[in-house]
Amino acid sequence: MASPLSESCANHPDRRGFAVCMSCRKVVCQECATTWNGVNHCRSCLAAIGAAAASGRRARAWIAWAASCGLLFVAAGYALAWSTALLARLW
Amino acid sequence: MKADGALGLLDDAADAVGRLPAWVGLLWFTALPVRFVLAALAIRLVEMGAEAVHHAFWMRRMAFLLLATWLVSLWGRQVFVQACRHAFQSLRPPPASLLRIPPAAMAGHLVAALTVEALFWALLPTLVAPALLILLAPLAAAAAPAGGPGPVDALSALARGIGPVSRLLRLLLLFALVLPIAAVNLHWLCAAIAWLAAGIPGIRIEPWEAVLNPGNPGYAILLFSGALLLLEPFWLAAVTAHVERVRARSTGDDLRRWFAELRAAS
Repeated sequence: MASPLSESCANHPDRRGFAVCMSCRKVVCQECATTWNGVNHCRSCLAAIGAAAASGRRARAWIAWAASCGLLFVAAGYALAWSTALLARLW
Repeated sequence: MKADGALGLLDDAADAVGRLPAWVGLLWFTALPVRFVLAALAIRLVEMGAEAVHHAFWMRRMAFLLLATWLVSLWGRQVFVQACRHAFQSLRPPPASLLRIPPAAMAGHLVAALTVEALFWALLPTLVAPALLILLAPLAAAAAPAGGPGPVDALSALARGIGPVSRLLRLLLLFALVLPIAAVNLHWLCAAIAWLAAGIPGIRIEPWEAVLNPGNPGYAILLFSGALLLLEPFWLAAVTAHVERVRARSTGDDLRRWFAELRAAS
């Protein structure tokens, strides 16, 4: 494989290549390349990775929300029945 | 700048509630079923006394019915909080679009409110912890939605909204003092209606005199529920004003507003 330095940037043809994006394999210049977790990515691939991570976080948050709400609803119902009956007995 | 204490919050709340009659009506409309079911449960519990523990199935059914109606009231609370927030920032009437709550905000409110509700009922026999948890219920409506659906994020947002605890405790004390006054006023209203009805030929109020007696536990519970319903808009608006001040202090919005006021005055 040729060195990225010998090719020009995929986004800026007038600039010399600096790195290869590990997602789309395009050669990009220093401005377009970002190192994330020790791996070079171009801007658009990094945005896609970020969006996928955010979407995963959102999905996990909604799953945690649904599980918590279900558990808390049942717990609140039983706690309500138990504590009010206890108070009525002590009355 | 307005007063920063509990009385300042009450001023803001009274001002906002006075400008939001339709939204107060919506809040009451959504809160009526849960207040009614709670009053019915309390009246039945007083009648059953120690026998209540032998009616586990009925108790559980009522508990879940109460929670189902309470879920409806959460939407009304969230809409009212949004309307109050709008009223604090603008003199214009709130737009109807406030009726559409973003799902993430409603989810954050729901999970935080359910946590507070579960703790409230579990700790009810201690009698002290519920008094403090009463403070967290409106905070779940006013502060937790900013955290989104994640339970930890929603509860963190609620914790951030607490701010100066002494101000919240003073507010709670004020409402605890006002609650019996509201109940007495409601009783006088009922007595006045009965007295006026006595003047109408053909209406006998003697049977009602026994019912409309504060010594009647059922009537006393209904009076208490009615007083809670009357004060709910002011309570929610005051806590929303508190959360807005805490947020403005943390983001620097209060200073920006102060500078704008100074610039406008000069």
